[in-house]
Amino acid sequence: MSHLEARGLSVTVAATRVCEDLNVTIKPGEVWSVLGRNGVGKTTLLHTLAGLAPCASGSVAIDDVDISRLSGRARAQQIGILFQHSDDLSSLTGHDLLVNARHPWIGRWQGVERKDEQIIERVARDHAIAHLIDQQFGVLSGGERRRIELAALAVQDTRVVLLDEPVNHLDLHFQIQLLTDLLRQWRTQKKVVVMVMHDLNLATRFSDHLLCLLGDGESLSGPTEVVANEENFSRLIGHPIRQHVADGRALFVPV
Amino acid sequence: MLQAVSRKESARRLWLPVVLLLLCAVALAASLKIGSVVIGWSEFFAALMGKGSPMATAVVLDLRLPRALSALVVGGGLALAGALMQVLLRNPLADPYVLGTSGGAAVMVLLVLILGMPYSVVPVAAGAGALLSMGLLLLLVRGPGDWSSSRLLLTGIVLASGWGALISFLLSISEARQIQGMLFWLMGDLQPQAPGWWRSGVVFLALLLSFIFSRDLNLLAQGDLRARSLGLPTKGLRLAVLLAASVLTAAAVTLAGPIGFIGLVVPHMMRLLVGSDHRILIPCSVLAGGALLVFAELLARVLFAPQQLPAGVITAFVGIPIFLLLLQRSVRQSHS
Amino acid sequence: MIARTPFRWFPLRSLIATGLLVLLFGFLSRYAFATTLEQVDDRGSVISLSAPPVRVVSLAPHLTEILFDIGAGQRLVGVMAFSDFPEQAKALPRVGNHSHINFEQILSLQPDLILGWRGGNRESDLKVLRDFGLKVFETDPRTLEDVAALMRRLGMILGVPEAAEDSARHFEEAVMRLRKARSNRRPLRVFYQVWDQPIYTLNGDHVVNQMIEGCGGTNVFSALDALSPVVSMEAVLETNPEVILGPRESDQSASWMTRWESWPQVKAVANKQMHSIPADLVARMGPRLVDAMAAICGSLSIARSQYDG
Repeated sequence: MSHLEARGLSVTVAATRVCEDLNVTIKPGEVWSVLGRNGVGKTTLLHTLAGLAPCASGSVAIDDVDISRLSGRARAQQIGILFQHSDDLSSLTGHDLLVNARHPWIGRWQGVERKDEQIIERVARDHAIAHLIDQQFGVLSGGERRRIELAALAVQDTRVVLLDEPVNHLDLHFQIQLLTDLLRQWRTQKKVVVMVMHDLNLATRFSDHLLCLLGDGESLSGPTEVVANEENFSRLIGHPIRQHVADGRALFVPV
Repeated sequence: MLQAVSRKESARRLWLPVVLLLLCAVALAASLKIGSVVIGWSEFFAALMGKGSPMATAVVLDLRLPRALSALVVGGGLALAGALMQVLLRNPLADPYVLGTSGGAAVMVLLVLILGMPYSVVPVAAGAGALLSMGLLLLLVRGPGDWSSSRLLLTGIVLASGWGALISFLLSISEARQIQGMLFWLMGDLQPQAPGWWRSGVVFLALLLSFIFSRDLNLLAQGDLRARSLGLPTKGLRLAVLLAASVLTAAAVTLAGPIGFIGLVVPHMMRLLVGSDHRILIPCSVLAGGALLVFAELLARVLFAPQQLPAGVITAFVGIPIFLLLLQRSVRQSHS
Repeated sequence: MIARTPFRWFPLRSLIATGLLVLLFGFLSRYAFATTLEQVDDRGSVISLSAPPVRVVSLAPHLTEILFDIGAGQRLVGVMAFSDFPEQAKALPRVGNHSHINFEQILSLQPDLILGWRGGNRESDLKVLRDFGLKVFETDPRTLEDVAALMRRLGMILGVPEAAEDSARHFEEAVMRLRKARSNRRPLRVFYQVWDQPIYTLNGDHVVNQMIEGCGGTNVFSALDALSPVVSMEAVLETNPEVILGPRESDQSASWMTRWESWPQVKAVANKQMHSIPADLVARMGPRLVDAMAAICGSLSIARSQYDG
């Protein structure tokens, strides 16, 4: 069980301040959503949490260990990330992706072993993608690609899962199904989950904590029931938001 | 049992390396037996032992054998360099010379020829030029920001263009009698000279390392960010790949001039047959590249005998039909 | 009676007489001057000049040499790079090299005749000169006979036919002497190597081939189609030549000989019959071809004494 911490984290990208002196602790079994307008730096923050982008000051730690002290391998065994775009993968097959995802667990002098193959097989079955993985990425639809990438994340078997707009461009049906199934599974496995989300309602429905990036380094974080209100969201979006209730759930709609 | 890869591809991964090895052996044998000096079978075997007539033995052991071995080493080295460049730059159009290595080598060689230095200096000049070009590239690419594939490619292309302009200039100021020799070198041709220990060693070492690090190369093909997210130290790895590809290219160019086509197309041919997994792609590319150049060199000597064509011209003529055939088949397969 | 008639007859008679004389003169003068300064060049164009040219530009070293040989060298105002024979040619202004002709300089020299070389100058360059209104006399000598004929033709157009005839005859007689001196025995097999990296040789259409045959040799690659083909090392080994000839640059020894030293299986190497000819002599289609041929004949006679005893 590991928890992910941002300690006094300040991140800047180009001339934009993403966050300043951010202190959050994400405990195992929690699902966080990062919200904010376009360009506020959500992806950059996610990359910094993954150890892929530098921070201006502060640190990111897993179980009190600063991730910058970890070797690339150790970090990859702990943190898995789903990227926003997959246009640059067109010539690879799904199977290539799944095998590559086992890399952090395979020693330099070892090869892909029986154990790895079994994990890949099981994951492919569980995610119902076995019929897709021989084809090149370029010929698959957006939804099929996402599913394979998520399966790769499962193969990588990390305690921390970071997702950059996981359900973008997917049909609504898929969006709901994916989030429901995956998050239920990950909660049971007590993984630390942080998602960058664009849709306020999906975020509030599926995550138990929210981190709102308000721009210029300001941020707001806390449990969803506390953070999700008209005032905060109106400030976040820059447009008045009205809250409605339907089926016992809060819905946030622009005025 | 889950069918991880299509049945055809996984079977090919087993027998293709064996077939290619056999092909290399056949190419080598043909290159030793066939030539302008006609040698019968019994004489041929005697010559191999060193016991044939002085002419036959000299032709087979001192002329044909070193050149065939060179073709094997150069062809394999160029194919490997091409595969590495394609992974490094994540661009299917990349070949060993795209970042300017052969341009630098050519400029130094032309300088040496213009200054009238003996021909034995040419290989040294070629190697120096290639390494100079690589050094310049690294210098230009330094500075803030991670050197992305596109930045590397762009800088390399500009460098190559610069060398190209210098080559044209040098050709325009040289004397008529020197130009013939220069043009012949620029087209790429094998000398009847053994590859030498250091060249063979370089190719072998690069092959070994590429094979050991083939999983890393597979990851690198996914892009810098993704590879890093899976724990790969990409900056160091990419530098190592660039160095390996450049040294391989330098070794090839010092022996045979800038032979084209092999570095670009052989890795693609192998990809069409066995996919992008570098564990299989690398060894197959090296074997296929070697066999192709040995055959091309043989044809260059024999097609219009007694006239000799530069081997670098024949590689394209031999390779292009094969490549188009493979491409057709794979297109048909993917649409069926 | 006498007083009136002469006055009326004299003007008419003298008028007719003068008229006839003028006509006769005119008629004769046409024949006297016109054909001397009108020549057809190798392109088929007729070059005609009203007077012998006094400012001549030569676009090839061999043309420079011929001009000096026939006594018209002092009329040269511009030559190509590498026009280094005879000594006076070195002082003349250079108007270009094998890859580039300096048009502006040629124009500034205001030549009344330009001698072009179809085998070495670019056709487009010669056209540019013609388009400027300059008279360009293009030639392309390929054989020994062509060289002698060229001397005569240039003598005609330059107005020095007698001197040119002397030079041409001297040339032809020298060639004939060398030919007569050759042995009646079977011809020696000769390989002529023009360049080493790669191996360039010459076929039967080349003047070097003519000289080799004139000296009692036969060129092993005379049957090839291309004028200067690249041949493989093995092809040369297969012909097993008895003599290897090649050019020698003035400042260096013939470096191509070192390559052959490691092939004692070749007859020419085993019997030490590798000879070099000064490159300037054999590469220029001018009067010094005779010297080149003498050198070739000299080498072949040495070889003959080695082989035939």
